[in-house]
Amino acid sequence: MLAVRVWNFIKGYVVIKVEGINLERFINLAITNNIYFWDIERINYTALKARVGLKGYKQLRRIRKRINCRVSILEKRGCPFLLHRILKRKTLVAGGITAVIIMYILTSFVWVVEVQGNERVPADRILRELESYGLKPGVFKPLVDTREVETKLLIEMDQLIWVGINILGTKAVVEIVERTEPPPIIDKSEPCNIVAKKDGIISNIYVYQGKAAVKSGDTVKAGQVLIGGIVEEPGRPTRVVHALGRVEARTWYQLIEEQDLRLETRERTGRLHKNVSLKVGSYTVNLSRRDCEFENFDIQTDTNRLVDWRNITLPVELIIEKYYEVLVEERFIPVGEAVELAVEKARQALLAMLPQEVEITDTKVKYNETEDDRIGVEVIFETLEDIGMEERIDINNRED
Amino acid sequence: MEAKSEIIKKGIADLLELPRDIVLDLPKITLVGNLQLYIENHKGIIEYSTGLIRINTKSGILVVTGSDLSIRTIVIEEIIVAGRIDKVEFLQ
Repeated sequence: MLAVRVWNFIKGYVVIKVEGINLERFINLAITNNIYFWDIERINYTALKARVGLKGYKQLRRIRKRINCRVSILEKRGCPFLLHRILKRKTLVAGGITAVIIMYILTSFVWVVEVQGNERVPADRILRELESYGLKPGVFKPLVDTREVETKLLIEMDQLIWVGINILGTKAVVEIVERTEPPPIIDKSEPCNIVAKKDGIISNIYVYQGKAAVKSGDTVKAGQVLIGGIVEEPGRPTRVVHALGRVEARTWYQLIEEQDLRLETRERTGRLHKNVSLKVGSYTVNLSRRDCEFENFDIQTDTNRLVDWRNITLPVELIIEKYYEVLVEERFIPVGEAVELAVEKARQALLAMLPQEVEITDTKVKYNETEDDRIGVEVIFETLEDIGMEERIDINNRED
Repeated sequence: MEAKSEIIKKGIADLLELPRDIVLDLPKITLVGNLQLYIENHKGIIEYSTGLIRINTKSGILVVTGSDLSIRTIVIEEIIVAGRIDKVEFLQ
């Protein structure tokens, strides 16, 4: 029925008052002429009220001539009349149309340029580059060829390996991927020394080219020359070569870890309490009736914003806090076990720090029990690694 | 003759189990509580006032009495009467 009402409203209808004798005949004639009436109400013996569509109203004229009755319009309803009334107010219509046009024009500009994915290259630099290719706030969208800008930016900035520009509404999102810089490789033809990256004790030294400056068993400091590129031999002219070789050294890493002797295990019991609150501006309204009654729990907080439209965020948030009940069990572990745990932790931390080919040859552990059931563990790892690093020899400097 | 054709029609309807309202052109009347009355297959309205509506049908004149009666919809096939319906009867 609602659909019918809506349809009638769209098509437009009039509320009419029919006056005369024998109005039943009027109704019968109307329906045989396919005129659709609805909501017929008797006002009094000689009059009734009814609703009829616009087309039907025009057709009524024919019937009116055949039956002696008077039809008058009480009300005009529906879209056609509404439209007519609105269209009479020319300024309002003009204002509406202007607003739509302005909106349309404004949305065809880029208003915000956003750079995503940059870590080392400052966003300002990228924005400046983009601006020089025509992508900047206030630019007319059809004038920006994103593919072209992408290509130009890639050519101009060596640090980038991929650029994607998407224009979303009035926002241009520039996604970039930075190149991870490989270590500088010194060309084989250029003279260089091999110096120590870090402190250590040399265990093996293999010289392919150049002159060994240290021998196995020597203690070296970071920056010290291990294989020299300047070869001076008595009776021969001094040669400057590109030193090549592998220098394995024992190095040490000291890591300090703390370990609690009390080991807490938290296990979720499966019981869950939800707390829903509504945050408007700085006010928070709690919508849940009960408070959380668990003794121990983990909280997970989800914040739902109503809309995240461009740069505008409504200050309304729905916050759902999930309290998971947990069973906390505490147990003391023996010192030995605690040390093992600490060493394992330290080993993981060390491995994350070092390149993969490094080999841990020895582990030394010192620990002392501190107060409040904790132990401090000092772990010293001895490793065997290649500490050689090429360093260019500046010939001009040397000759000075 | 007419009476005979009616009998034949009725026989066919019974035999083929067709709905009688279609074959015999009889009115189908649906009453929703005492609020609404649907009459399909009517033959025109005879009298309409807020307390009484008389509708012509193949089965005779249908008299609806009540109060605040109004005609919700009226088309060639169907009438919907709304209001407080007290009594629905056929006058032969």
